[in-house]
Amino acid sequence: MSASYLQEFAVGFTISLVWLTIHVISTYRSGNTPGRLIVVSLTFSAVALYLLTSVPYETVSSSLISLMYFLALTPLAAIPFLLRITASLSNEFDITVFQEADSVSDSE
Amino acid sequence: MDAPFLRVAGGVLVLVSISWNRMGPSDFRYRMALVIAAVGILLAIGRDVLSPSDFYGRFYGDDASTDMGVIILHFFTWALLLVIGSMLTIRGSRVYGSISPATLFSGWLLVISSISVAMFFRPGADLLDPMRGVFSIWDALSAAPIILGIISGLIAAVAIVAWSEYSEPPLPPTPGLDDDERLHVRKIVEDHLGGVN
Repeated sequence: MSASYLQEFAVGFTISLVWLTIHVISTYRSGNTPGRLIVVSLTFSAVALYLLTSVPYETVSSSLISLMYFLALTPLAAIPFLLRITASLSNEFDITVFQEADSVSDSE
Repeated sequence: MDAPFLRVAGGVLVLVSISWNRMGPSDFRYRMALVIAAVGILLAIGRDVLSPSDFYGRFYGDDASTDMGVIILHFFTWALLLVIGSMLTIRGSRVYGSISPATLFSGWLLVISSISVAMFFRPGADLLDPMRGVFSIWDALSAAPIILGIISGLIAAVAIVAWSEYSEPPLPPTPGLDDDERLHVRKIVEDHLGGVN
C-alpha cells in the first residue's frame, strides 16, 4: 500500500469526522445532544486534523479535486429516484389518504 | 484572506446549512439555513466569480483540471442546477399535491443541464478536441482511496454516535399532556387538516 494511498485515505477519513463534529456542534440542543458525543467527536476530529498536517498540501488538494471529479456522478445517480417520483401517481399528503389511513386504524 | 481559507470557510458554512436545514421548521436555525448556504457558496466561489477577467482562460487552460478555483466553481454550478432541478421535479410531481407539467418540465430541464455540465462542460474542455475534458469513469476511480476513507470515517462516526447515545443514562418518562396542552395540540392538528374529523 503506497504512502499516497494512505494519505488520501486519511483525507477522506478526516472529512467524515470533521463533518460529524460540524453537524453535532451546529445542531446542538441543550438537554438533547449528549455531552460525550461533543467531546468525543471534537477529540477525534482534532487528532485527525493534527495527523493531516503531516500530509503535503498537494496531496490534500489533489484528493479533494478527485473527490469532486467523482461526485460529478451524482446527477446520474439521482435520475432513477427522480424518475420514480415523476412517475408516481400517489399523493402522500392527499386528505383522502389521511381519511383512509384513519378509517383503517379505527377498524383495527 | 487567502483563497484556500475562504474556500474552507465556505465549505464549512455549506455543511452547517445542510445540518440546519434538517432541524425542522420550529427551530430558528432552520430558517437561517438558506442564508448560511448562500454566504458559504459566495465565500467558496466569490473570489473567482467576482474576478472573471482571466477565468475563461483558466477554465479552458491546460492546468484547468488542477485549478482548485475552477474545479470548485464547476462543482457548485452542477450541484446548484441539480438541487434546484430536483426540488422543482418533486414539487411538480403528484407526490406533494396536484401535478404541474410546467414545474416538472423546468425541473427536468435543470437536472439534464446539471448532467451536461457535470459530464461534458468540464474544466479543460476544448471545442476543437471534444473528448478532452469529458468525464472519464477511469479518472473518477482515482478517487477510490478518499472515498474509502470517507466511508470508513462515516462508519466511525456512526459508532461514536451509537456509543455516546447508549452510554447516556436513560431519561425519565415524559409526563402526559394536561388538558390545556391537549386542547392546544388538537387545535393545531385540526387547523392543519382543514377541520376534517
